[in-house]
Amino acid sequence: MAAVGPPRDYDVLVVGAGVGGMESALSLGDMGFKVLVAEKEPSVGGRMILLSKVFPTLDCASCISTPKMAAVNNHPNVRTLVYSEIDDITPRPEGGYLVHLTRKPTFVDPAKCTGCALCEPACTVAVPDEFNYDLAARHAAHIAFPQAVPKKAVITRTGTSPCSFTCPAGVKPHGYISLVRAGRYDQAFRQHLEDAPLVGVLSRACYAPCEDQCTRGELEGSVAIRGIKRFMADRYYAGHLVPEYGPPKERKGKRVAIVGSGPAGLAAAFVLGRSGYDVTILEAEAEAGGILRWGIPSYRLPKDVVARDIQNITALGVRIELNHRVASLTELKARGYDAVFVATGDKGGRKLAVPGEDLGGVVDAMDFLRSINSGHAPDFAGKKVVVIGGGNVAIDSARSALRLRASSVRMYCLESRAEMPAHPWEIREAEEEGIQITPSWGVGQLKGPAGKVDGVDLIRCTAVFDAERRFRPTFDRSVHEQVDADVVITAIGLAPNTAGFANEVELNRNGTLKVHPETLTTSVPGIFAGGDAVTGPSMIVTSIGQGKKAAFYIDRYLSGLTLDGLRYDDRLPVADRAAVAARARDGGSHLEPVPVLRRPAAARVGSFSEYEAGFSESEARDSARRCLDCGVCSECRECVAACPADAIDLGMRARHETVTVRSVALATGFSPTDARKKPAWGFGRFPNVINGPQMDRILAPTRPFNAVVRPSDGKVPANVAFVLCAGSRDEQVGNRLCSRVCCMYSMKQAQLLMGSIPTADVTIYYIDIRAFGKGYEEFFQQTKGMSVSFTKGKVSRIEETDDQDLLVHYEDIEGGGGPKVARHDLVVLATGLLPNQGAFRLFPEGAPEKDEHSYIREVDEELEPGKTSLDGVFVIGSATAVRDIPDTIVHSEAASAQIAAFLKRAEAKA
Amino acid sequence: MTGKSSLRNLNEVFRDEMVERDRIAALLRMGPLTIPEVAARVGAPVYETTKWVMAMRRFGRVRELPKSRADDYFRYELVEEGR
Repeated sequence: MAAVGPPRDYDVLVVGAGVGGMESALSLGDMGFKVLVAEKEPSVGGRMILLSKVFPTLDCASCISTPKMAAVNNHPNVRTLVYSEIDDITPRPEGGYLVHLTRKPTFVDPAKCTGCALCEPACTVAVPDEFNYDLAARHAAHIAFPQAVPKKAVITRTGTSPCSFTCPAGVKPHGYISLVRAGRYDQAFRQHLEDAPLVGVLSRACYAPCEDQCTRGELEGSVAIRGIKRFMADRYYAGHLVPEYGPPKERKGKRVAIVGSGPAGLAAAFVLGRSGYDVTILEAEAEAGGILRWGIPSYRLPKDVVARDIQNITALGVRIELNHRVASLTELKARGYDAVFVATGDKGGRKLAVPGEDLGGVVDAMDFLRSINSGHAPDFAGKKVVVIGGGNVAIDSARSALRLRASSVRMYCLESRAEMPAHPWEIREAEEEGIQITPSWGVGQLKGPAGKVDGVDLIRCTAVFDAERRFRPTFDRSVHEQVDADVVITAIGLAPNTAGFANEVELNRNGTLKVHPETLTTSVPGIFAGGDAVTGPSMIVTSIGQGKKAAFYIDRYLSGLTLDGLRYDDRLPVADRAAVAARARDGGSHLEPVPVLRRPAAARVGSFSEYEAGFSESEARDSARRCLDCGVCSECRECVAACPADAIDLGMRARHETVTVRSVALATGFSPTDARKKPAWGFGRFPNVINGPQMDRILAPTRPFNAVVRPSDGKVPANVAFVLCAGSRDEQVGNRLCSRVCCMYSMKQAQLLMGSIPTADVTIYYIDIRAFGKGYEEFFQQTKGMSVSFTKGKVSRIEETDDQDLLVHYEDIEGGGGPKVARHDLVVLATGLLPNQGAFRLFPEGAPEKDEHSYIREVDEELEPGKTSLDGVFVIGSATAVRDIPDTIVHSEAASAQIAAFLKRAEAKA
Repeated sequence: MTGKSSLRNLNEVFRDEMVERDRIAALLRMGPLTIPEVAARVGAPVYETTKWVMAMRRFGRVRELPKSRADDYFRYELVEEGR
């Protein structure tokens, strides 16, 4: 037995803040005990606050509940924690219990939230409203119900959606997709811009790792995330020819030099410029954009899009000095820059290191692509072009060569087809255009007797990687082939553009800049580096991520803050894709992906103009509606914009607390029975078959509909049936007990219904009526007196008519017997109550005993109500047996007296 | 008799309200309608349309008009922003 020792943090832990838990907490608090109440929902009040009225008095449930809710939330001796879960309760050797609890993040600062609910309509994610028993929608940002105490908003987040989780640049596709779905296109663009610049670039040239992670990919195919982005970017730019903002007014008074205007440099400049730094980008070329401007062919990325994206950065006051090649990084610091970010990217291709590489007609892929993008495309008309390489640059080169009217374009690469680094769709599109791709060949030599290449000797590549997956190609030189070539384009990898800085900052063996992996600081204080110059060749979106990260740490460095021990990554754990997919399969529609249209291959090879079509508005929204809202909240941040109190805090995280208590009161309530367990009655299949709790919501003043209307079509029902024992006294639903409240609450609902629709016909199908409490029999007679029809008969099944009325098949016991059928507009199943099993899981070292019906057993119901088999652990209300509200209150008071006696006895012993 | 209902995944129905509400609003701009009338015009199941109209009502985009006792259905009108 756990002895009770000296006072703990709290005298009593009350688990659950329904009517029983609240009543006990208030009583014990009034007696002077220190009480901790833990409630898993965002509001106290339990299920009672969701009722319309209470029987038999027909008093307003809210009127009774809300004073108690307010009192328990404000009692000086009661600390109430809502949205908090008990993790475990373990006995302490010295007595009492050790309690671990988790305060779930609401993502709203309760001290700031005024309960105005402006976040609700702003939110772009709708989910079933559990507080209306799924009759209506609520939004991810919501206040539980109008009388919630505390009346504070909560944002439902089950994790970071996989698309957002996977983006290296921290872009949140779920956010802008939900905004496009809601028709808020400009907000969608701005939300992306908040996360990362170069929206137009990414909408064309991103390889969209988000789409690979999209949960829809496990169903009919991923959401076309990049297509949606392109729609919103094009639409925004069409309406905003120039940026809608200027430099920030608040200046930091510090200067940052960024070397290179590729995606990493531009991203860093954007973030730092937005923060008020004086940013100068030093660009060696005549135009800004780096690989975006010079490397990617315009059929994939039009240069006007790049230019418009860059305007979003220069609008912040960021200066770009063109034709400025930086010779010394340390000199930049000497010139007065407070920090430097090196983002020089890649300088060009790696060498083949084979004979003949210096022959005329052999060109590096990056030089080739640059020549086209600078308006000096070579004349390939009628020429045989061979491209060496299997990556995306090789594909770009091959497709560009074709657009320069080469007579043939062949690609050879070391890798097998499955190993080719190029993305499968790029390979497919290249082949569609007529490019011949031949994997598993290496170059033996390039031939050309007259100083100009005329052919390539190829040797069979047997393996590209060794057993440790290192790049160690092996060849079978006995298998070889020769191909004619007028031009050979080499695209076998890119080298970092860092050699000029080798004397100033440390480099890795592969030539990349050596940086701290988290802070991106180089060996020289104040000089940071990122992008391809650090990572080697990577995706645009990865470089943007590097630029953002560098900006974050540069800001801290320049603010004199520590760079150590920070968590730059603020994502929640990724949402459970399998669970989301399973949920979607349960009655979800088959929604084929909306295809991104492309010009036919024959038409697109004739020019460098963009070949991918953008979505129309309807295509974009139809595509966006396929999103499964994996993490629920999309992080669109519309709530942040809408909140006048600046209360939204998406960075909030769960907090864990440990407390000691002298005693525990389990007020964990009941679980409603699941009407789906009786398939013959059609709940979940027929919209007009609802359960008792749903009917109470429809009748409540805070109901989900404007009046008592049926869910299928909003019709005011003229003929309503109540089916009693629809979850009780029935082994088939796993509950052989009478639930004690169903007869009475159904009669209550019948009376309220007739008050609301006086002309309605109301029938109650019953086995027997159990009206056992004070005033209950009178209530029964009163109900009969209101012309409610009581039909003694067991309902066997319910069918639906074409107009969604319901045919109730029943055995007419008193009306002569035999099966009968009656037609109704609406059927209410009087579902019952089951023991809540959650409480047993709270005690890893031994839970309170169960009774034969799986309720928490009271060891002596008559003499010591509420006392469980564990010393100091008590049970309240319907956690130990089905009770109506008056009985729950009486029981909670009795249990409170037992708890008080227990605590006083212990004090006396001490 | 098997009835007509084929209830879609509720999450999906509610998600669709984000799209459908603009179509419904466009309809209601021409005058108040009952839910079955809205459903017929947007070509959607009445049950789902009920969910969408009620969601719009919850967030203040539509409101019901008074009806006589003889009418089975309420008519809903659009609440234009700023009103």
